[in-house]
Amino acid sequence: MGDTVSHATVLDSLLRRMLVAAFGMLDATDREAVCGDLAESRETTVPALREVLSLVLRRRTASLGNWHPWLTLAALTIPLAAFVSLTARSTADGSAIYLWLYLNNWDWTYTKSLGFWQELIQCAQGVLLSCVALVCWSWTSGLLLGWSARRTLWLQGAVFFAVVVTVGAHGVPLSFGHVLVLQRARNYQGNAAVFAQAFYRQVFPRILRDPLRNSACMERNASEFPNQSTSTKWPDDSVDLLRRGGGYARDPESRLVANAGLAYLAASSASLAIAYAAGHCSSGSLPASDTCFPLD
Amino acid sequence: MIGEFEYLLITAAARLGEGAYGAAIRREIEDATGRRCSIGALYTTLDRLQTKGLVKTWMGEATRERGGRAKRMVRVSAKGVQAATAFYRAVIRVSRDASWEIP
Repeated sequence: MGDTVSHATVLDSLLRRMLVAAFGMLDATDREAVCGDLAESRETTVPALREVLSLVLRRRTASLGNWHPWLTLAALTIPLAAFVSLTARSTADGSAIYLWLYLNNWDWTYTKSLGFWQELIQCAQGVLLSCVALVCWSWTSGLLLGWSARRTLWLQGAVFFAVVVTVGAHGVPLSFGHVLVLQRARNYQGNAAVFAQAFYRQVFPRILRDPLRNSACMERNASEFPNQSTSTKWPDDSVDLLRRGGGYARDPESRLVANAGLAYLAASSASLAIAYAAGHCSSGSLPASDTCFPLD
Repeated sequence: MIGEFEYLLITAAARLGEGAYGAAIRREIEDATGRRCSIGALYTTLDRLQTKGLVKTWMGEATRERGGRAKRMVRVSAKGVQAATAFYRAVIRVSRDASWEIP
């Protein structure tokens, strides 16, 4: 018995929250008039929710019949999303090499060196500033979009988010490689060349991780081949890795993580800005979830 | 020529006169037709009529029974009266001499 009452209360609370959320999707004028009409006719929560959702749906579909939202989509939303995603990708490429260098080659003995800390702080400042710049660009783009396309914000926001996350995290599809500015995206990848080479991906970490072994190799070379005293002998398996990889390898995980992380960061900042702009534009207050309508 | 629902809305607003607003028009249409009138249909049609210049709407005063929310008041314009009259006459003309007995 107690469980049934509890479930009913949870369901009622959920329905009321959905109703308030549905009211939030209406213009301030519509919200004011419809909320008053429903309160006057003493509608219960479920019919009220149905009525509000029907109006929201009609409003959304009606706005798609004009050419304005499609023009906004083509002239503003997609270019802004492309700009933000390319900025996110560029920032990710620039930051990923530091992330990779520190994470892949971390050794606690480095922390005893003062130079290491100076370098780490300098590097962290650079990465942080890049991320802040990205958030600012995303926020500005989101605000611009929010103020420009009020009626079809749901459509513009969804397309913006999808483009930023897809292009930012996964890159430009090859089939779109020759399209307009997207072709240039490949030139923005700050350290892409570094990550594309098996040397930096697989051989270089081994050199860093095994400095003693490397110096021992050099000493052995010097003793065995006195005429070539300055040459370096690579770790044994590195030559095989280079040969198998043909000189190139897949993107390292750090770059993928940086790409995806910054793409989501950019998309989230822009979404917050869009939501802020939308909330700022509609000045009407939402009904309180516990005062507007009686329960079923 | 306006549509059937547009005609119902204009007629209900004209009947209500100064007291024409969303909820009252909705009640009037439901009472007259015996069918449910959704708020979505009401307000989107109202917007369409306003765009055509057949009605004029504005936000009215708030009342306690509406939870302190304002009404969306409606007034039929002269153009709206002409459009509704044209629709009514068309219905009368087309109904003349029509037999509604089931054969």
